[in-house]
Amino acid sequence: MTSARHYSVPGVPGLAVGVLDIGLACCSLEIAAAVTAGLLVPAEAGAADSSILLVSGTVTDAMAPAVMAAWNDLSEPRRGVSFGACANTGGPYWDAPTVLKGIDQVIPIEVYVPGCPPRPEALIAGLTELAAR
Amino acid sequence: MRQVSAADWAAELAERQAAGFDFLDMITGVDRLESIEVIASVMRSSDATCELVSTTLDSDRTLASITHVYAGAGWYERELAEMFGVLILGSADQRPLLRRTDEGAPTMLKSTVLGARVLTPWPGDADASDDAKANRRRQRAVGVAEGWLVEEGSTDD
Amino acid sequence: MTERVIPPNAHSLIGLNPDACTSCMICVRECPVWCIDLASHTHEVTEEGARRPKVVHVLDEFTIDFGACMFCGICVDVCPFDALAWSSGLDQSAHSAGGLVHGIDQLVKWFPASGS
Repeated sequence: MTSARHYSVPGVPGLAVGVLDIGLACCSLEIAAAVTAGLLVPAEAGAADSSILLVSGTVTDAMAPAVMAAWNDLSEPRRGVSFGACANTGGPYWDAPTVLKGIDQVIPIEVYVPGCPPRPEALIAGLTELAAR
Repeated sequence: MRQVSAADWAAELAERQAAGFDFLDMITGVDRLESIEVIASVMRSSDATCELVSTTLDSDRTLASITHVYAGAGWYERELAEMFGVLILGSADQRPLLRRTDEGAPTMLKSTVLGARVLTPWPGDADASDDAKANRRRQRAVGVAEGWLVEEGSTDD
Repeated sequence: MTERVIPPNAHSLIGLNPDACTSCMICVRECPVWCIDLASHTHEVTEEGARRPKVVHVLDEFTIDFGACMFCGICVDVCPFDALAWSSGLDQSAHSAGGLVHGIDQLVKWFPASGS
């Protein structure tokens, strides 16, 4: 489960990302859309200088330990990206007693991508933001 | 929609399966306040025809498991138990899906207080202007029942 | 790769025209995720020739938390004064969840120019 996929980002030279995509809800479709639209291009492993945990979708309390385990298994240096309203703050499920109010409660997040869901372009903008940091 | 009594639930679904409805689409509950309605959607995959089967539970909120008819029903029955407080009889797996403990009221019942909606200050509660607050009527957020917001020593109008 | 263009009617950003906003609070109360906050004060204006002063709401603060916003557009739909509107473009990522809370200064830039 914890082997990351590697991508390069056309339009952002030098950005190579190893992404472990944890798709928990509908936002995950936008990650797939980014790949099929050519915004993320599968690349050789080893080009990336850090691993990224990309959390998209609703994180329930029941699922949180699995996300934490994925984070802990990721090789250093590792960076966390939260994609979409659910992962950011709980989003539409902000009042649900069984949903985490943001994935940053359990793992460190460096970039928060807004949207419900965010567009695939917003993912690229977020990754660019992360690379520039 | 085929309405059956709770006692006939399992038999009716076995009959549906025998009639070619080979795929269980889903089972869900509906809180009708005075009772819980359970609805199953089954599909015949050969021609994509769907049928709904509905039953209204008695006050004991008990329903026989249909996992022996549709194995996939187990997941939905766990949902019914955890979120609607339905007692499922005869299913092997009774573990809650989302909650880590058995504590707390079933989350999908309309009577269940959502703590976050009570503890989070509703931005719509305040009249926009402070000076108009004195003579405003107290407003309540959608989905927050009367009585949820009663503070100690105050009255909820 | 062909140039990808975000369609102009995409639900990407919500802009505010503070001049059109009357602080009526309808958007705040209709928002399903409680992500809009609004503060205002009132003051009295006496127009020339008027017998009585009228009470005017002055908008002080208006924030949308795009970390929680589910871009449903209910606020845009319910506003009686068209003070909220969709615009194209991409909301920026932030380095904290709080960084996704945007106030009047930002929201006014996202309000589409008339005619769009």
